[in-house]
Amino acid sequence: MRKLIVCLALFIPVALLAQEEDLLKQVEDSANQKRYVTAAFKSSRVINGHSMEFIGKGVLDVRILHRFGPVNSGIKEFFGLDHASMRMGLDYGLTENLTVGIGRTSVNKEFDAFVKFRPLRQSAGEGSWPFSLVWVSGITLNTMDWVDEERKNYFSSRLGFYHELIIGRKFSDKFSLQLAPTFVHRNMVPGADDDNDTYALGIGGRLKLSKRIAFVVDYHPILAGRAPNTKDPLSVGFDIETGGHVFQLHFSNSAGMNEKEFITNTTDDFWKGDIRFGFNLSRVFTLSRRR
Amino acid sequence: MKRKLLLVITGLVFFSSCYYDKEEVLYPDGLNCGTVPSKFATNVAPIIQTRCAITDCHAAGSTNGVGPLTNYTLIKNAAPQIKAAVVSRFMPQNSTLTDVEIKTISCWVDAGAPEN
Repeated sequence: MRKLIVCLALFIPVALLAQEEDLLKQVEDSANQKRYVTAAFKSSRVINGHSMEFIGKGVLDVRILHRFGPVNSGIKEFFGLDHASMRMGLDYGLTENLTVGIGRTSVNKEFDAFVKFRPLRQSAGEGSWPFSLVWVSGITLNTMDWVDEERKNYFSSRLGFYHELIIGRKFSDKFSLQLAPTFVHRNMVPGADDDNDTYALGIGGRLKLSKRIAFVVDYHPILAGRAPNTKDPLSVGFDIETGGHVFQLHFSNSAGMNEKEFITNTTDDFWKGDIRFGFNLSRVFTLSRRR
Repeated sequence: MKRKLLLVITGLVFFSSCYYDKEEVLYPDGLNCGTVPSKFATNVAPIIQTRCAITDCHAAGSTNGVGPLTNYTLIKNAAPQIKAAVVSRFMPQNSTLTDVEIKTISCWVDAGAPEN
């Protein structure tokens, strides 16, 4: 009897071990299946610029953006909060990889619309792909009255365009980085020597600090065709997620809220302290019925 | 629905297409920032003082819109709003600015609202 017990005692762990291996193998198998990497950024924008992230099919994203006056204007102006400009926008996910959006900014009474498409998506597991590739094309329409009503004014002069290619990767649960070569075209520029075309390189990064909070940086150094007296837009901030809402609180030298505006019209210098507080508020609604 | 939306957007992009216009070249006789004087002290400040920073409007202690416009810092901080308001002729409310005056202000704002 004792022998039997000893035998069993010796055998049971081995049996358990074998069973464990089977389970582990199953887990490994399912882990090896191809799956898309999600939540590289909390929002479809890094701060000002588009991020590699999509809102999903049938999802309506209501976005309300505010940019305030310069923080260094002092307590009398309540550190810039007395002066606000805003953009209201609606983004809609037509498919997982295709989003369209419209918006209207108070500065220049400007409308904008964009199409955002993701031909390649970062994935893990078998047949994985290391990064996401996103294309964004947008158009802006200035609806201010003409400075001079008498002259021959052209509708085309109101328009601007932007195109960008975003190459982004979620390196780990905590860290995501994207590069976004961006091209902005303005149909009409003020000066004879001004460039209609401006090229910038968007650099966006996210560092996750906790389950709900992330630190984000959005920088657009201008490579060529800089508009006179403009600086490179730089924004730093925090994303705060609270079920369905994403709050993006940030400090930036830019007051622009679309690509054309912040790349060609950022006149403040971040390093001289001409910084503005701003926030993006995003609320998503799932419109299409789940099957 | 999807197709229509895409059509509208591509239509917009194609029909308006790309122009390389320069305001100064397109309207050589018109008002432009090269010809309109737009220094803060000599050109901009006098317009603001006489047309904006007046009693019941944007004088000291004003709580209307952007508030008082009585010194450089206050005017600079409100520069984008001032430009938008005068270019759209929403402001001033008690008088009308000439085209040159409007251009003076908008050129100064476009130049980064320098203290010159």
